[in-house]
Amino acid sequence: MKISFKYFSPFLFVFFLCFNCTEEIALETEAFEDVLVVEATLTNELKHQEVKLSKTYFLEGNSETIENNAIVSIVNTLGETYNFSQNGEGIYVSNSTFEAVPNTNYKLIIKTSDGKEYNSLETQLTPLSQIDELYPELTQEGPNANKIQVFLNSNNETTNAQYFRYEYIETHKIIMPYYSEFDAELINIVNGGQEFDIVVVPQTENKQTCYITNASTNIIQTSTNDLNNNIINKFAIRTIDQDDALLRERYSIKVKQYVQNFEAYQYYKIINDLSADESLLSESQPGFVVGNVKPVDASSSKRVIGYFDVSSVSSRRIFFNFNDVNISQPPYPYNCEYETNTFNPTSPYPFNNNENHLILDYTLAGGGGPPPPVPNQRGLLYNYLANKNYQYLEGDFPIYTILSPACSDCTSFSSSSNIQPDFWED
Amino acid sequence: MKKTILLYIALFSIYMLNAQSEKISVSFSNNSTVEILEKLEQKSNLRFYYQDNWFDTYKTTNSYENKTIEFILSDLFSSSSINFLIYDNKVILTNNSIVYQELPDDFFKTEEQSYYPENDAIFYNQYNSKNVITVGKQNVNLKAQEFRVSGRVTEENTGKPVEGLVLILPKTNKQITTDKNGRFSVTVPSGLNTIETKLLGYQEQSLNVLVYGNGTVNFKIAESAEALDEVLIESTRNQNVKEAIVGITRIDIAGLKNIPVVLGERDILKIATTLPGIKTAGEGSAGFNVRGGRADQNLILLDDAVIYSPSHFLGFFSAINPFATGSVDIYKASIPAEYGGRLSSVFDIKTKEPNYEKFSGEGSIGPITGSVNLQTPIVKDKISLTTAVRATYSDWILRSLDEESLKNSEASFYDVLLKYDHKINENNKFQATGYYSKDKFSITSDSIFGYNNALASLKWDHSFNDKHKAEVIAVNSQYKYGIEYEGPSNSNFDFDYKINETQLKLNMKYLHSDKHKFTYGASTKLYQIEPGNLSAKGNESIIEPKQLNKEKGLESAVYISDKFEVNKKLLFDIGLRYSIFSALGANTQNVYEANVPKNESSITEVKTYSNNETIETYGGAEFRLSMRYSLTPSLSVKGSFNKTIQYLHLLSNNTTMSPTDTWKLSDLNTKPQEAYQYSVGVYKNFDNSDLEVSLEGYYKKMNNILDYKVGAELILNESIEQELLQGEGKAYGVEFLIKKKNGNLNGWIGYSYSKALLKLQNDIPQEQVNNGDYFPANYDKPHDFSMVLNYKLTKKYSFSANFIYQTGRPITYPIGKFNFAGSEQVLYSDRNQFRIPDYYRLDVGFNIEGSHKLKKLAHSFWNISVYNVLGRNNPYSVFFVNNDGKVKAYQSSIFSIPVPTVSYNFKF
Repeated sequence: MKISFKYFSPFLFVFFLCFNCTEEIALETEAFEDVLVVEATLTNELKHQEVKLSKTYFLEGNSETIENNAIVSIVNTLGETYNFSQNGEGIYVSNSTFEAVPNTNYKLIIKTSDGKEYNSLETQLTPLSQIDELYPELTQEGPNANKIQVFLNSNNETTNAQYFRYEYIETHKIIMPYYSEFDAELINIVNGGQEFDIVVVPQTENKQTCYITNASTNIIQTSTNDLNNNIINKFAIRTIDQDDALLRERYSIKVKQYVQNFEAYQYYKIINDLSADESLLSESQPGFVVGNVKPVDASSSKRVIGYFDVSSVSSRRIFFNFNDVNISQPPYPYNCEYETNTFNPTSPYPFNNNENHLILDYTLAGGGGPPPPVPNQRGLLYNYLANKNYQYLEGDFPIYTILSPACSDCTSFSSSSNIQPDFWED
Repeated sequence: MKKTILLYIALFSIYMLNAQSEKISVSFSNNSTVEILEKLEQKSNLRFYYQDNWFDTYKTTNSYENKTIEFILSDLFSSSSINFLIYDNKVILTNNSIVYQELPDDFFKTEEQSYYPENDAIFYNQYNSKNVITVGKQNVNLKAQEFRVSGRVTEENTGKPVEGLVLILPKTNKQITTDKNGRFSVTVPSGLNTIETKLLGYQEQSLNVLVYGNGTVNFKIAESAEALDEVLIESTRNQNVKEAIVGITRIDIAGLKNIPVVLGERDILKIATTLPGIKTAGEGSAGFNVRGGRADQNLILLDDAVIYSPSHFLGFFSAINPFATGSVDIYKASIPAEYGGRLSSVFDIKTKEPNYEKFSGEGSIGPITGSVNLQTPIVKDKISLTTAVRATYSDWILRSLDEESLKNSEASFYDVLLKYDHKINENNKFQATGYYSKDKFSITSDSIFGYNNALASLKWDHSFNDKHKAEVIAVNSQYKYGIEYEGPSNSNFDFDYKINETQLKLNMKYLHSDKHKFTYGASTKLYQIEPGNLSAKGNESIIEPKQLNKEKGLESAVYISDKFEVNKKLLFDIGLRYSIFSALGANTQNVYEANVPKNESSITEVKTYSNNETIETYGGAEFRLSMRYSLTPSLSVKGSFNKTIQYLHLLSNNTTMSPTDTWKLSDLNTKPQEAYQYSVGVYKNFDNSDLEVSLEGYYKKMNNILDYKVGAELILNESIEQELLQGEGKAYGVEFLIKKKNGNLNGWIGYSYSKALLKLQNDIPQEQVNNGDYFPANYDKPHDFSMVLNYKLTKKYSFSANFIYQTGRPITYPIGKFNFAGSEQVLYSDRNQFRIPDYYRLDVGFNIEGSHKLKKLAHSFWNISVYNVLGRNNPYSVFFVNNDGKVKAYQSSIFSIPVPTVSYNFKF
């Protein structure tokens, strides 16, 4: 019987390998279209309102381009005009503080530096709503079983608010597992590190405790439209794995709830659907999503991406620790312990098994000698300290203990600050 | 006596009308009779038919001034045995009093089966075809209008009488069968008659019998097992020129064996796509796009029952066992009034004719599939049974392979067909067909997609008399598919979809007269759809079950049509169908505010309907008009107008990899689609209709064509109408086809230029696509060229090749990225603004016939072919995935390398 398989298998092999070959291809922009992208959410908070203008960029590209030097203003049916100016990050900020008020139509007016004008449709402030409750909970079952979820409740039975979009900003505290009061400086460097001296000096910076802050990067929406009552109950804003280091020390999340009108809700939803990972049963028709910003010149076929949303907003911040949700402390995400293979009788030299935590001997500088060869620990010491931001832990000449920044310098993490935020409550 | 002479004069003067009006001057100097005739042919607009050897070598010198042809010929043949008849721009010479009682011995061994259409010929041409039989003594004083022709049919090799041979006389629409001694007798009108023969296992013949009086025609027919010259695409000889309807394609499976195949399958529907006007969106897409129509606009019938998914492996093999298929007629333009419910075309697939005579079979063994078709009489001449089975062994082999990447894949299909034919008596015939097909394969490593078709068809034919016939048809079709997902997470699910339809149909034929032939009837069809059930798979799964409301609908129609032959040149086919559709409960329907986008915020009311309560009724008259005007017997022009209404829609995701298309009925919010097609065509046959050339043009307008909003999700959507857009469609094109049916080199070359456009215009920006302008549909492929050629090297070896070129289909392509709401998004172009690269493919095949020994048990041949010889990587789709905020592009193609195949076919 085996013979017949062998006879058939070349055909089959070809057949099944080629029946449906899906391969990744290079993304090439065939016909790039330079389109203005408008992200503008006017809120009912009294503040300097913001409008972000950017441009589309090449598929192969990685960074967005800011639309500079545009003239941006918001006018309303009360006859007020609010002008905007660009700040250092390229975002347009209103010159004065103001807030959106109910029953007034607002319109965004943009004139780009190339002289093109764009207007939004007139939009009114959405009904007010509030976040009634925001609380973490260890979920027991479902796809998110054994995960910590931050839930939101909002009762809107007395308002017409039905469509909601959420943003959150989360901050967590981190404490380095190893920390020294001292820092190592390299002096008298000869020949790019062949020889050098290490001076131990007091640490000047707080590298032990930091606060890492990140904003949500996905579109989070919900609606009460198909519910019997207008109550958002236990809507999950954020889901965190039990062993996520976010929860190791202390965690805080601030959720902003934007009440949207149906059109704005739908706009964000389609944008989100189009970019979401598609499962077998949910693939959607791609295409250009029409927003509410249009070129003033009606004959222009120029497209505009984006939406001018006038939303009532409410926010709420909570803090919690791992023990508040009855889980054990998540482990530190990196292995920072010293590891060596002391039982290797063939090697007379200390053996570093964990690159995050090293004990290096300056006197071992590599080179010949009887086997085994001498490791170049001096070279490593130089390289880690000078180029890889390793931190000094302890030791004097010639043996030093150093640690990777992931284990000893909290400022090395992205979005990390060693200054406690104003809102922080321990 | 006087009366008959008067009658004769009257008749003759009509015949002479053309010739008499034309007077010519001509002179001959020492010319042979043949030369003279050629000269006369040039001078006049007449065609002369004769055989060279009738004339002696006598040379003539003479001249005529301003004389009629009749005068010249009378003078010329005054002293010879030659008679002539001037008739319809033809001059038919006969060496009178020759009556062929028997055909020449080599009659059926000629390779060409020439055919001389009605009124076209009564001639022996210079070549070796001797295909006109004269019956009765020719007499200018024709008295009778009808004569009795009888005869006996014997088998060529054995000399045994052939029983049950069907003789068809198209001129009078008569069908007779030979008795057990092979004898027949039939009354025919005087003049040229055609007798077509039909019996399974025998070659089909077409005889031209020139009847001058009562007489006998004896002839022999050959078994078809030895027939090596089966034609490829059979247009039933000049039928393309003669019939009134425009845009019909007939494919006869018998001729398909020489065409290069992939993986050893001869595929009737694949062949169809090499003909102009019939396209697929790409390899791996199951539907057909006929003349700019969506894939859901084709009524695909297998023995009168709808087959919803006519293919296996996502379109790679047709779902019908090639050996069980007899023929397929594809109506692209003039759809007969008896058919309805789809806008663009009808694929009328008939299973093989039964074999009442003896046990016979056909089969093939290929690398992926094996198939066999067996036919056996249960009661000789009364009951016959046909069984066809086809299956892949791929799954079984896959599991046995050591290859890790293939081991967990699943890919299998099979189909079974069972047919029962019963000739109850001369006036009653019964046919029952059952069919089942099943496909199962992995789309991704963690999911299995399966679908199946099941259908049953019962048909009873009854003749009331020679003129009045009835057909009663009852059919049931079901299509189901399901997806089983077993992924790494606990979100395993089962998804099911099902559509079922039951139809009752009555077809009546009334051959009123030569001028009027009526068909009329009525049909009613019940649809039942389960649009989607989602259930959790396994105990772990956290998928929430979801079940959409069932849909129900009743579609009924009455129709009448008349083939009205005004005169020999002008033929009308006038049809009218009136169809009516009711969407029925139990169901709920959303009522939306008018003139605002249909969405959850514009629902004003949710209506609930009880079981069988009418939700909405649609209907309308569908005109099916066509006409033919013959310029000459081998040249005609035709025109048609066709209106169709479709109440059932396919929701098909344009970009999808997974075949999750669902059918949906019209309801409160979804209107039926409508199409109006105008077409014209010119048809010309050359070389005794061996070479057919046609040029057709069409313009089609469609209303309420379904499309989707940006971001539409079609599966398990309870308010699907919120995602649907209905717009206008427009399609036009020209189609050119040249087809050579016989000879060592045969095949066809087709080219079409066509456009298929959609317009989704609305005042609401969200409900309009591409600014409300016309844009190309997904299947718009303007240039489409295909060539299918066979070359017979010897009787044993033949070579074949296919070449296909098509413009790449349109896609919506990302044209940039942007940041929005904190993550990277893709900016898409206008809908279908770009095209994937052009498609082309060359396949070659080589056929080796088995031994031709007559007494051999089975006839066999080998087919060796290579699919996609050029190894062209034809992309089927290009799609984009946003992973962790970054966009990636993927291209999927099918068979991007040459695929060789060897298959063994046999027949007994």
